[in-house]
Amino acid sequence: MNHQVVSVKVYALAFCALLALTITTVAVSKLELGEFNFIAAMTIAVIKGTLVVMFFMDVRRATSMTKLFAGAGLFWLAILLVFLLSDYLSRGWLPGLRWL
Amino acid sequence: MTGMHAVHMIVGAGLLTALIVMAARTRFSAAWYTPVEMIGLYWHFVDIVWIFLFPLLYLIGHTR
Repeated sequence: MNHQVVSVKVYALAFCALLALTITTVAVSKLELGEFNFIAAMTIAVIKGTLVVMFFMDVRRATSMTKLFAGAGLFWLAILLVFLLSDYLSRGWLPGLRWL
Repeated sequence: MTGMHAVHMIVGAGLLTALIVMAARTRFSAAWYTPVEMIGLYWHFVDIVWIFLFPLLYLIGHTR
């Protein structure tokens, strides 16, 4: 925990950036881009998530240990998602095995 | 997913209410503000979940 106070201006700017990105993600979803709609929406979501973690959760100015733990959490989440999707996306790949 | 998120939101609203009451009673100072940090982190975690849920639930596959 850091005792240095973050100015309201920084939070206001981060909030405005998040609002702008929300409007962008809605606008992009109106376009017909095929599977790029999903990629664009998730890319914008990752950018927004990074803004929240860096500015609102103040990982930006945190110690290396906090950053390591934040990264470890994300890595664990990635492992969970990879195993979830490796099951979900590969269903029905083997012909004749209906229960797979 | 929306239900789980709603439960997190309700818990967060309760925590924030407690935080407002504590702040009004001037329980916090520069020397001690741990609950503000902790509840803030929790609330932003719920925020991040919504950042991903919103496009997944309302934008993907809802074109037209």
